[in-house]
Parts: sequence; structure tokens; C-alpha cells
Amino acid sequence: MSLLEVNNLTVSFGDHHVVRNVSFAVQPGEQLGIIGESGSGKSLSMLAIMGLLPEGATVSGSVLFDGQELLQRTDAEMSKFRGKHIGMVFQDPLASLNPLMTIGKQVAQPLINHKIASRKDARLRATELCSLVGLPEPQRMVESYPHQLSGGQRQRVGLAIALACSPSLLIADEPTTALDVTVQQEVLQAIRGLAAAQGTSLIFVSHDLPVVASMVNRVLVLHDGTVVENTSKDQLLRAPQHPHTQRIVASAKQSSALLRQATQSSAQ
Amino acid sequence: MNNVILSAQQVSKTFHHGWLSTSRSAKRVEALAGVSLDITRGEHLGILGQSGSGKTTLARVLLNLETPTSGLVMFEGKPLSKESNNDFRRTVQAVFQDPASSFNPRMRVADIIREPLRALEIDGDHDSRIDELLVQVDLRPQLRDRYAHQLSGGQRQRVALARALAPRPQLLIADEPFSALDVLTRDEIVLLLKRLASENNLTLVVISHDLSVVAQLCDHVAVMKDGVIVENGTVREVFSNPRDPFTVELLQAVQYLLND
Amino acid sequence: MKRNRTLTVGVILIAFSLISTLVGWIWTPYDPLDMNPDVSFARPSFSHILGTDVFGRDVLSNIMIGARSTLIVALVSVFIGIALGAAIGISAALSPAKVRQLTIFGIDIILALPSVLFAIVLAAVYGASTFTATIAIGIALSAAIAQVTRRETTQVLRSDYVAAAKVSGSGTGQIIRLHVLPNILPSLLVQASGAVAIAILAESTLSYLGLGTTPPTPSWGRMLAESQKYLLVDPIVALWPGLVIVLTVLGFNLIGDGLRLSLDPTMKRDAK
Repeated sequence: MSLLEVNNLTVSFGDHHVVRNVSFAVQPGEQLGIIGESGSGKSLSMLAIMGLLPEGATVSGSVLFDGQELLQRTDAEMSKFRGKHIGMVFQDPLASLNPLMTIGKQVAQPLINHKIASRKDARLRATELCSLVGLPEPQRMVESYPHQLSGGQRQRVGLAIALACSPSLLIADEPTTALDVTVQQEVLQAIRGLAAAQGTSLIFVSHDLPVVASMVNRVLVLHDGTVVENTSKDQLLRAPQHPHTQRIVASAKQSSALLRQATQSSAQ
Repeated sequence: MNNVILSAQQVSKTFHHGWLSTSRSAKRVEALAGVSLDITRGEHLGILGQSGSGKTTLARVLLNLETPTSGLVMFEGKPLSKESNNDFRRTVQAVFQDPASSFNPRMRVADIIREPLRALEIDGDHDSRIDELLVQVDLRPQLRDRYAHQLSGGQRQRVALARALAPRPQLLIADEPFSALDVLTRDEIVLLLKRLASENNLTLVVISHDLSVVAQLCDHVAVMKDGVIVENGTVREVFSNPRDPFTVELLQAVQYLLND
Repeated sequence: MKRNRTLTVGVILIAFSLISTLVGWIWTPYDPLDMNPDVSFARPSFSHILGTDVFGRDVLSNIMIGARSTLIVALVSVFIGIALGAAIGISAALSPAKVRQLTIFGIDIILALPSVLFAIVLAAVYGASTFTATIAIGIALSAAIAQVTRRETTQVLRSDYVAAAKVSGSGTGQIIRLHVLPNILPSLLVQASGAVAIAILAESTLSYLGLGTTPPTPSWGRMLAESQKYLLVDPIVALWPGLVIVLTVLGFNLIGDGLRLSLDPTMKRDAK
């Protein structure tokens, strides 16, 4: 049975359909990439799965997680899923952290909320998680506040929070887009490492094809609210079917080629 | 005619935050710490840097939107003063990063492009010049009555380019003009910028964090970190034979791009 | 569309005060000052549509004439407040740091003082009247408006599009005309509509204290204040001035909202 099965997901705001009949599945232990430009509906689809859509949005279709239907559940019911079975990392590391709470408290929070650990044990586990995501000096980190950390560090904290309860699925929505290029790799490594260690399935959402390609083995392409392609990463890069996908792949290959050309030493 | 249009000479810029800006307890941020840079006529210069490198402050100083705390900016051999200088504004124009915020939300496209024509007292019929500019950036002249928020990101950047080209400048400074755009739109605008530069004989300065954009558009590049320029040379030299450790780090960070 | 409804309802609500003012200039059912002690506290009837007050004066006539002073004080004082406040706020935003900080300090001082104080000072010099009340309220209002205007102007001046305007060669005057004013106008409208409420209430306080519209000239505020004494005897007398004040204040608020909505280009339908 698929871990996550999304069928004919449609999200609308009044007459405006932003996500239209999106269907896909994620198997246990699989890494799926979702590529789309802004306005393609990729973020809203993820929010629909998590039950975090804004006011005024109507959803239809079905989202089955481990066989259980998630859509149309109340917020109270969904909060039992969030954090415990499905974790999510967002784009803006600063906005997703509480500026007034220490890192340790925030990482420990999901463990306490879902009654997985006592307050004391949760704090110990928080320090462990900080070390697992590659944060320097975990004991000191746990007592620090978000504003004392760099963007990359904050994003890794976000990751620690998302994976605190060892959920079976991690959704990462543009986790490195707001970060400097030199820091992106560290965060991507952290995601890969921790997901592998816990056996977590991954949905990696981004507009950046090369970044997605380095993280997943299957790719879904969203354009204008619909799925235009759903293949393995290799197939996508070698022989994209849909014209939109072909354009994106061509553009990424061209940028690579230009950069490769520029970095080639004149001696070669 | 000067070969160097614009030049920064040992420019430093420090910002003060705090209640009484002159008090000692106010926080000081040294955005630029002694930057020297020559912009030669005809070149396409890239300024490469990450957040906090000072690249945007440098752009603002070069555009005379900020005065340096120390050092000078020379325009055609003469130092720039704080007062507005129409000659300078006609020659040096700019395109900014965020197409969403670069326009007055209450102004229509035609009026947005008209502003420099009026302010710099450009001769000729403004309305036909506006249409001419819209066509140059591949926009239908019918869009002249729209508001900025009714246009897509790509269309807005085209309007920004049309506005910048209105006074027929010689130098165009573009501060992260592609970061807010989708990959495919970015490609279009890069091509557009290339074409406009050659059609209008423009000297370009492109500020970006994106190495592939710099590789595509520029022949020279200056790498910035922590308020200083750490490396400066042709794109080929700097990218294939980086000398500064930071440049090396930058190039390594995009290795995954090359393995696609 | 929704925005027109807001505006329309607002206009309807203040229509009463407007019509009363206009009609009242030519005719009222009775002379509002005409006292008739034997018909004091009369119930609403055909002869006195809204009844009479403690002195037997026709309430409707007093309300119609009172509309005049209320509207004049409200509109003129708000106009003064906005004109003065916006001018101070915008210049403060444009001034160098030290001048700006001094101005902010000055504004804070005025904010701390109640309008009553200004009214007292003006009354002492020129004698109390509708005019002195108007000026006093206007000055008091200008402080709050200056504060908000300064903040909003600073925000506009820091925006990317003002930077672009400077690069386009626009000078300070052009920037204020093309960019600052149109973008702070909605906020000024909202502030104005709120200020009308404050002005009307301030006028009633001042009239009551004898620092504004002097008796026997009718004033809604004073009618409301005076009727408090007789609440146990005839509560209806308090109802009428209270009701018209509430409706007029609400009406101005809705007009402010409606105007702000209709001036917002982002509310226009997108067409690509």
C-alpha cells in the first residue's frame, strides 16, 4: 500500500481553481520531487495534504495517508498527524521559528505535544537531533535563540523540529530557496542524511530543477495547477515528454553548459 | 570621451541603527569597507555576492542613492555630489530586484515610463516614445493603461527595462533583476537584456548571486564578500582559475549544477 | 460592487444631517429657541414629531439646527487636522534626523494634552464660540494625524519605487506629488473618518463646558449632555441627539471606507 496517495486533488478559491485534479503516490522510503514555477499550485497542494490551507479555500478529492483519508478532517484531528506522522519544512527559516523560544524548547515541543517523551527526555532528544542535523555545539545551540543563528542553521533547526517524532513522511517546501548557495548544500545533506537514517519518505518541492534532481529519484512536474509529467528522474532528464518540461530541462542544461564552459581552465 | 564611465574609489559605507543615530550605543553596520571598482565603457560587468556581501549597498552608492561614509564615486572623471544631477541620471539608469515593489501601485504603465521623460526633460513626444519603448521590450503597447499588479513578473521587469531605457542611458545597473523570476521567464529576460544591451550600445553592470546568470551575461566579474571585493577579472579567468578562497567556495557550491 | 454599497450606505446615513442642515436654513417646524413650559417633555406626536425638551422646545427643530454646528465643527476641524497634520508629518519625514526627532517630540507633547486645554486657551483670548472649538479640536487632531502621516511617508520614501523615481531624475517635490500623496491618501481618508467621530464627541464636551457652541444656539452634543439630567424623567429626550450622532459618525466612517476601497487599484479586476 502506498504511504501517501493523492487522488484528483482540487483546491479552489471561489471560481479560481489553483490546483486541478492532481494525483500521485509516494511509496514508503521513496523520494519524490515536485517541480513547478510559482503559481503552479505546488505549495498549495502540500498545504492541502497537511490541512493548512488558508481561509476561503475549498478542497475536493482524496488524500490517503497509510489508508486513512486526511481531507475533510477537523483541525484537531489533523494536529495529531502533523509532526507525528508527517513533518514539514518551509521556505522561510526565520518566519517558521518563534523568536522568543530557545531552539531546544522548539525542537522538543513536538515530542511533548504528541506525548512521545517526557519534558526531560524531550530536551535530551532535542540536543541529539541538533547534532544529527549537523548543528555545531549542540549543547550551546539548544540554549540559543533563532536570531542568533544563521539562515542555514535556522533551516536545520526547522528540519530537526519536523523530524523530531520520526514521522514516516517529510515534506520540504523550497527549503533552500532563501539560502545562500554556499549554505544550500549543507542543508540538503542534512535532509538526505536524516531522512535516510530514519527511513523517512521525502517529498521535495522546488522550482529549481538541479536542486530537486540531486535529492530524489522520481519527479512530478506541476504546471498551471495540473500534473504534466510524472516519471523517474533519469527519464525526465533524458527524455522529457511534455513541452513545458522540455523547456525547463533544456534551460537547466543550457545554464549548466554555460557554467561548465566558463569554469573550464583555458589550458584545456 | 572617458573610457571609465563610473568609478568607485575606496568607498566605505557604514549604517547606524538606533534611537539617536549619533549616540554611541547605536548599532553600526559596515556595509562597504573600502571598495574600488572601475566600470569601463562597453563592458558587461557582473558583481557576484551573497546576502550581506554589500552588493546592493554598492549599487545604491553607484547610483547616488546613498553617499559614501568615506571615499568617492567618480562619474566621467568628476566626483559625484549629493545634489541631483540630471546629466548623471540621463546617463546612468537602473533596474531593481523585485518587480512587485519597484512600481508605485497607483501608477499605470504609461505614467511609470513617463516619469523619467518628464523629470529629465527629454525632448519629443512622450506618448510615442512610451509606445516605442514598450515595443522595444516586446510588450504590446495596449499594456500602457494597466497597473503593475495586473502584469506578470516577466512583464513587470520588461516595464522596468523600458523605464530605464527612456532617457537613452549609456550605463545600466541591474540589481538582482532575475531573482524573483521563474526559470523560464528568467531565460527570456536574460536574452532580452542581452539584445537591448547590443541594440542600445549599453554598458552593463549586473549584480547577482547566480553564477550561471553572470556566466551568461558578463565578460568581467567582481566577487564581493563582507563589504569588499575579493576577486576581480574576466569571467573566464575568475571562474576557471579562482584565486580567492571564497570564490573557490562559491564555485564548489554549484558543482552539483555541472553534474546534471 | 461591494465598495459602492459601503459608500452608498454611508451617504444615506449622513443624508439626514445634510438635509436637516439645508432645510433648517430656510425652515424648521418651530423656532428651536421658543420655550413653552406647559408642553415640556411632550411625547412624540403630530405637533411635535420628536417631542419636546425640559423647556418645551421642539426637539426636531433643535436637532435640525444643531446639525449645522455639528457638521461645521466636524468637517472644518477635521480639515484643519488633516491639512496641518499631513503637512507636519510629511515635512518631518523629509527632515534630517535631528529636526525629525525634535518634531516627533513636539507632536508627542501635543498628543498628551487634551483638546479641552487648547479650547480653554483660545476661549480665554477670543471668547468661547463654535469657531474657537473648531480650531482647538483641529489642533488636537493634527497631532495624531501628523504621527501616522510621518510613519507612512517614511515607509513610502524607503520603498523601491521611490528609489526608482530618484534614479529617474524626480526631485523631492515630484516624489511627494507623484508617490507620497497618492499612497498616503487612503490612510488619510480612514483617519479623517475616525477623526469626525472624535470631533463630534469633542464638540459635545466643549459645548457642555461652555467652551464651544454657546447656548442657546442648538448643538447635538450639548443636547445629549443636558438630557442626562433628565434621564429618569424622560429618557426619549436623550435618544434623539444620541441616535443622530451615532448615525452620522457611522455614516462618515462608511464613507471613508468606501472612498478608500474605490481608490485602491489592486481591487480592480485583473486583466492579462
